[in-house]
Amino acid sequence: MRQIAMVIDLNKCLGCQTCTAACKTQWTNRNGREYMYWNNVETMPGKGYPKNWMDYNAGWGKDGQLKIGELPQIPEEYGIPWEYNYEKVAEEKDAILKPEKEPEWGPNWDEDVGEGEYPNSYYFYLPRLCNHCSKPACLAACPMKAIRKREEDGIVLVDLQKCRGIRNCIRACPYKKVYFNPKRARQEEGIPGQTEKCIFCYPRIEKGLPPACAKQCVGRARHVGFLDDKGSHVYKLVKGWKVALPLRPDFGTKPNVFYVPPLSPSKFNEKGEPINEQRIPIDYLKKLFGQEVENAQKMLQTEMEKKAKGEKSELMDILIAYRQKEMFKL
Amino acid sequence: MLERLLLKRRTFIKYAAVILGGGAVFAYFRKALDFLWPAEEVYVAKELREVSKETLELYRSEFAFTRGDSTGYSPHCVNCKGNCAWQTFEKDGRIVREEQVSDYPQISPEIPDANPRGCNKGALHSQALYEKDRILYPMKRLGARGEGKWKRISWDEAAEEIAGKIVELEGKKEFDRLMVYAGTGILSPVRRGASLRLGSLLGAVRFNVAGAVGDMFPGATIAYGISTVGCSSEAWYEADYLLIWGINPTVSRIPDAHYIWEGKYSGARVVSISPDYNPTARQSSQWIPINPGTDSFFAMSMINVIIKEKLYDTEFIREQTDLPFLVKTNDGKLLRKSDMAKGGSDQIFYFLDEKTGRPAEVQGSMGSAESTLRLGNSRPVLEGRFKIKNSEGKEIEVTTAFEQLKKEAEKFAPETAQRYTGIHPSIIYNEARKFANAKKAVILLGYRMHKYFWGVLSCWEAALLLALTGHAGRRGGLDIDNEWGLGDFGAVSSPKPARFGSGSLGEWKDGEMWRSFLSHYDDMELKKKAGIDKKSLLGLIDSAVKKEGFAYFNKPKVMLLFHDNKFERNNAQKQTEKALLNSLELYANVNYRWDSSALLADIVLPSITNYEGWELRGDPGYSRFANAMIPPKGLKIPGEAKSEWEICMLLSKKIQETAIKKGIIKVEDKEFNVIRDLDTIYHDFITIGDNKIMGEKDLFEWLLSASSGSTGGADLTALSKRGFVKLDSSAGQTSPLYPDKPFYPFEPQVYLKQPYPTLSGRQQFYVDHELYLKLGCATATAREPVRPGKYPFAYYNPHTRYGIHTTWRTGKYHLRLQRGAPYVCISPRAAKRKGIKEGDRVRVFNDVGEMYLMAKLHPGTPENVIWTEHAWENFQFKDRKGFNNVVAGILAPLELAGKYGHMSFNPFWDGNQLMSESSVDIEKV
Repeated sequence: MRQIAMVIDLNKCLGCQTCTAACKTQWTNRNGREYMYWNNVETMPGKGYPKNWMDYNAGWGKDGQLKIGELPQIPEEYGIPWEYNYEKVAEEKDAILKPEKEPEWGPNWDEDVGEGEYPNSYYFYLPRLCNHCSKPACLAACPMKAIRKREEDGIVLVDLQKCRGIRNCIRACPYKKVYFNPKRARQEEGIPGQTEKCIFCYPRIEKGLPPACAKQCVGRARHVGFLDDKGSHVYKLVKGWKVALPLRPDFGTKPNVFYVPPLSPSKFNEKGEPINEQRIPIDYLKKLFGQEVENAQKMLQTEMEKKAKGEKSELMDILIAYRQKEMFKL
Repeated sequence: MLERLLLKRRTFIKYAAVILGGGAVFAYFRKALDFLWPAEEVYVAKELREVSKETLELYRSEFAFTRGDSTGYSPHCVNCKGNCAWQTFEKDGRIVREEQVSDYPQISPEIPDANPRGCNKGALHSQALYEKDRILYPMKRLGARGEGKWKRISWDEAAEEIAGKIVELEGKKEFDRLMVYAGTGILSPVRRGASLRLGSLLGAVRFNVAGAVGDMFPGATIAYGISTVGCSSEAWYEADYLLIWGINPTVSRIPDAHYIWEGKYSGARVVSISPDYNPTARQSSQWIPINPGTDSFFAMSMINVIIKEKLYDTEFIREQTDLPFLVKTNDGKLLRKSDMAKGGSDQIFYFLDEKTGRPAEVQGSMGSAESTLRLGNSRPVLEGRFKIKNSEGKEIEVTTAFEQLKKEAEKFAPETAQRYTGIHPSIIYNEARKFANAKKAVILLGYRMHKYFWGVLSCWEAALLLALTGHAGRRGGLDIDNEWGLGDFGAVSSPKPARFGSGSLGEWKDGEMWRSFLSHYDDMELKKKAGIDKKSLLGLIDSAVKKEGFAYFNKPKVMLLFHDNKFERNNAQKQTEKALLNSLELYANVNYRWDSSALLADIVLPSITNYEGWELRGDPGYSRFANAMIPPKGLKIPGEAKSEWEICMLLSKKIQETAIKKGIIKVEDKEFNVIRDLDTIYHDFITIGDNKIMGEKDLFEWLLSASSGSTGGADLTALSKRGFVKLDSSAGQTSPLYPDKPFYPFEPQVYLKQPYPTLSGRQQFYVDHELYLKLGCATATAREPVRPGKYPFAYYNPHTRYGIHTTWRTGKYHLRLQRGAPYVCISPRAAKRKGIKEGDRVRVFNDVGEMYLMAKLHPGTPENVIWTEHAWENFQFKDRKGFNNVVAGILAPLELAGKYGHMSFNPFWDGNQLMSESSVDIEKV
C-alpha cells in the first residue's frame, strides 16, 4: 500500500484560514455539511474544533484496545453554522445583523487567545484535517466495514454505499475528524444519516491538482507527497530530517499528516529583558507532538543559523520552498 | 497529564453501557467487538482497501460542478494591497467557486515564487455574490433616512432624479456643493475611472481618498517628498534585518507574508513592534511590546544609540541627507541664500566645506540650478558650531542639522525612553547594533502608525534610522506604500479640472468633528503632552485651509458616492453621521451590497462587483504582476446591477437631456476658468480621443493599450490565457523594476545622485516651518500620546484577517470563523478588575459615545488597552452604534503645515483621521 501524506509547517502557517475557506467552497458549503470543517485551523493552546476534541478518550489505548468515546453534540460543540438576517437589516430601522441564536461557540472561537500572562503569553495555529491514519481508529470501529483505506494512496474514505450512520467512527477517531451528516438520512432503510470526512481531495489529485487546502495555502506551509518517494518533500521532512512530527502520537493511530513544530520568540523576565527561553512551554509541545519535538526544534535552529552565516541548508531550502509546484509530488 | 486524562475520561465499558441502552444499534456494536485488528505492519486488511464506484463518483461529480462550464479571471479590486490572480468558475450563470491561478513565474532561483496569491476573503467572494445583502435593483427611500422603507424604481427614474438635482446645482454654479466620489471599495482604474471622469466633467468635489480614510504617510513625505515609497515583498525575503512596525502583515498582508517567514528561515532577523502579541509577533525572532502611541520614543532611543556608538554611515548622510545643512543658532532656521545675499533664493541651502572651511551652496535643492546630489571635491562638515559671514559682512552663528539632531537625541537614552515605551534598554542596544550592522535592512511600517497623533514623527524617524545607517538603494529602505505606474490614464480621469479636496480636513469639516474633539480632550492635558491647547489646534485647522493651502470647498448638498462606506468609517460615528446627513438634499449610493452607508441613502444603485466586469489591476506595489478581471462567458449579472461605467453613462445622458430641456447648457466655472458643457456631457463622457467607450470592456481595452509600456504590450488574448501579466521595468516609479531582483526605492538618488523631490533635494530631516519650530519638532524628537487620562484604556482597532475595511466583514462564512458578532479584546487581568468574564456582553464608552459587544479575554493584550479589529458594520451593533462611535475627532498638528516646498497640499501631503488617540472605559452590561 502506498501512503500519501501532508506536512504542515507551523512556523509558516499564518492562521489566515484560506485553507479553511478553500475546503469550505470545495466540499462543505452544501448538502448538510455546513457545520463541518474537513479542514480547520485552531489556535493552540485552546479548546479547538470540535470543542475539547482532545479529551474524548478515543483512539488506541496502550493495551492495543480500541477506545470508543462519546459523540460531540451537533452542532453546538462544532459551532452552529449561523445564518444571518441580511434582508431584515435593509428593511427595518435599527435592525441588527445577527445570527439566529446568540453566539456561544464556534470552530475558531479561541482565535489568537492561547495561554500565559502578558507579555509572556503564547499561541500558535494548528491546521487540522483527517490524518488518513495508517492505523485508523475510525476504520477499526466501523461494524459495517464502511471505512476504507485505498491501496493506491492510503486515503481513508467512508464508503457511502455501506455507511449506515452508526457513528462509531466519530466516537473512535481521537481527532474528531469524521462528521455526521443527518441530511444523508434514508429513513425507509433506518439510516439516520451518514458520516463524511476529508477525502484528501482525491478527485483533484486524479486531475493532477493537490488538495485545495494545500494548493491554496498562501503561507506556503503545506507539502504533499508519498512517504515512499525519497524525492518528495514529505519524505525528506518526515523521514530524512525528522522535523515533521505527527499530532498526538499517543493516540496510536499513526497519522499521515505531520507538523513542523512552532518556534516562538523569547520570554521576558520581570524586568522586561528577553531571556533565553522560548515562550511556548516545551512540555506542552511534547504533549502535542511527542518527545521528538525537542530534537526537531534544535534541528530547525541549527539549520537556520547555518543560513544566517551564509552556509547552505537543504532543510531550510525545502521549508522555504522556492517553487510552490515542488511542494507537491503527487 | 495524559494519564490523568485517560483515567478521568469515560471508559470503553461506560461507553458500552450507553450504547446498550441505545437498543437499535446493538447489533452493529456486537460486530464492532468481533472486528479483529490485524497485527502485521500493514494495518488495514485487503478487503478494506476498495471503495465503491458510487461513492467515488459522488465526490468526483461535486468536484466537476465546482470547476464550472466556463471560466474567467479576477483579482479583488478593493482597498487591499494584495492584488491576486484568481480563476473563477461559472455554472448555470453563477460563479460557483474561485481558486488562485498559482502560475506566477519565479523571478530568480534565489527568490521564492509568489504562488499562490490570495486569502480567505478572495476564496469566499463567490459566496458573497449571491448573499441576501446583494443590491439587485435601483431603490428609492420612502420613509426617513435609515428607516428601511424602500421602493423599487427603474434605472431611468433613478437617473432622472439624480440628474435633475445635479443640473439644478450646476445651474446655480454651486459646484462646490456637489460631491461625486469613489471610496476605497474600488481602487482600480476601469471601475474607478467612471466616477472620476463624471466628477471631473461636472467640476464636482472629491476627497483625497487616502486622507479621508487616514491612510496617508506624511512622515515619509517629509523625508522623501513623496509617500508612495516601498519595496516589492520579495525584499522582505532578501533583507537580513526586517523591522515590522505598526503593521501586522501576517494578518493584513496575507498574500505576501510568506516572504517574511521564508526570509527568517533564510537567516534574517525579524523584529516586530506592537503593543499586543499579534500573529506577526508570534512568528518573529524578537517581539518588542510597546506602550501604544510611544513609538517616537522607541525611534529616538534607537537613534540615540546609533549616534552615541557612532554606528552611522557618514558618507551616506553627507551626500544623501540634509543633515550637514547649516542651521542658524539664533532662530533655528536653515541658512538660506536669502540670508547670505540680498535677493537670494530661499530654497538654496548651505553646508560647511571641511576642505575650505567655508559655507558652500548645496546643489539639488528646489532652488538650485544644478539637479544633482554630487558633492564634487567638497566634504560637508557634520558637527560643530561656526561663525560665518554673509555678503554684507554680517556674522551669523550656525550649526548643522546633524548637530541639532544629536543634541535632541541625547535626551532619549534607552533608559529614559523606557519610562514611556516600557521597552527594556537591553533590547534597544541589541537591536540598534544589529540594525545598523545589517547588510540589508528594511523597515516595514504600516498605515497604523499615522493613526496616532505623533505617528508622523515616528514614520519620519523610521526614514531617519535607515538614512543614518545607509540602508538605501540595494541596501534596504522604508517599505510603506509602493505603487506601480501602469501608464497615464489622465485622459480618462481628468478631462477637466475637478475639485480635489483634502480628505482629512474634508471629513473633519463635513462631519463637524470638532464637537467630539472639544468634549474628549482636556485643555491642560493636551497642552502638557502636545505643547498646544485645544483652541490653538482648532486655530491650526482653520489656518490649514485659509493660509497653508489645503483645499476644502463646502459641505455637499448632493452626494453621489461610489463604494465608499463613509458613514461607517468616520470618527465619532453618530455625530458625524448627523452632521453630514443634515447638509444633504440628495444622497445616492452606488454599491453591490447594503452596507452602513447604503442604508442611509435616498437612492441606491446596484453595481457589479469583482468577477462580474472587466478590469486591470496593477498598482499595488508589493507584487509585480498586474491581474485582469475577465468574466466567464456564461456569467449572468444578478438583478439589474450595472458596471460603474454604464451607470455614469446613463447619468451623463440624463444630465445632458435635463440640461437641454431646462436650458442650462453651458455653465461657467470661474474658479477653474472652464465651461461645464452640460449639453454635450454624454458625448464628452463616452469620447476619449478617437474612441467611443460604450462599456467597461471598451475602457479595459483602451487601458490595455495605454499601459502597454508597463505591461509589455499584453492584450486581451494574452490576458485571457492566464489572467495576469508581469510588469516591465517602467512600472517602477521610484526605481527601475528589474525583472529578476526585488524592488527597492530611490536607486536613481542613491546611485545616479538625482535629487529627491524635497525642498532640500535630499532626504529631509530638518524642517524649519514656523509650526515645526514652534512645536519643537524641527528635528526628530519624541512626544507622548495625547489620549486623555480620564478613561483607563487606550482604544485602537487594527486590521482583521476577515475583511478589507467593511468588504466581507459581514459575510456569514467569515463571521462563523470569528464569534458571530463584534467582540472586544481585553486582558484577563483588566477584565477581572472590571468584573468581566469571557463572553460577557460589555459596554465600551466615553464622552463621545458608546458601543455594545462581546468581551474576549485575550492574554496577549496589555492591561491598559482594549481593542477590536476594525470595520465592523454599524448595523452589527445595538442601536447601530459602531466601533468608531467612541473615537473622538482629532487632527495631527504636524500634518497641518503647508506651503513649504514639498510639504504643500497634494496627494502625498494631506492629513489623517486619527483613530488611536481616544481612551475609553468598559463595563459589564
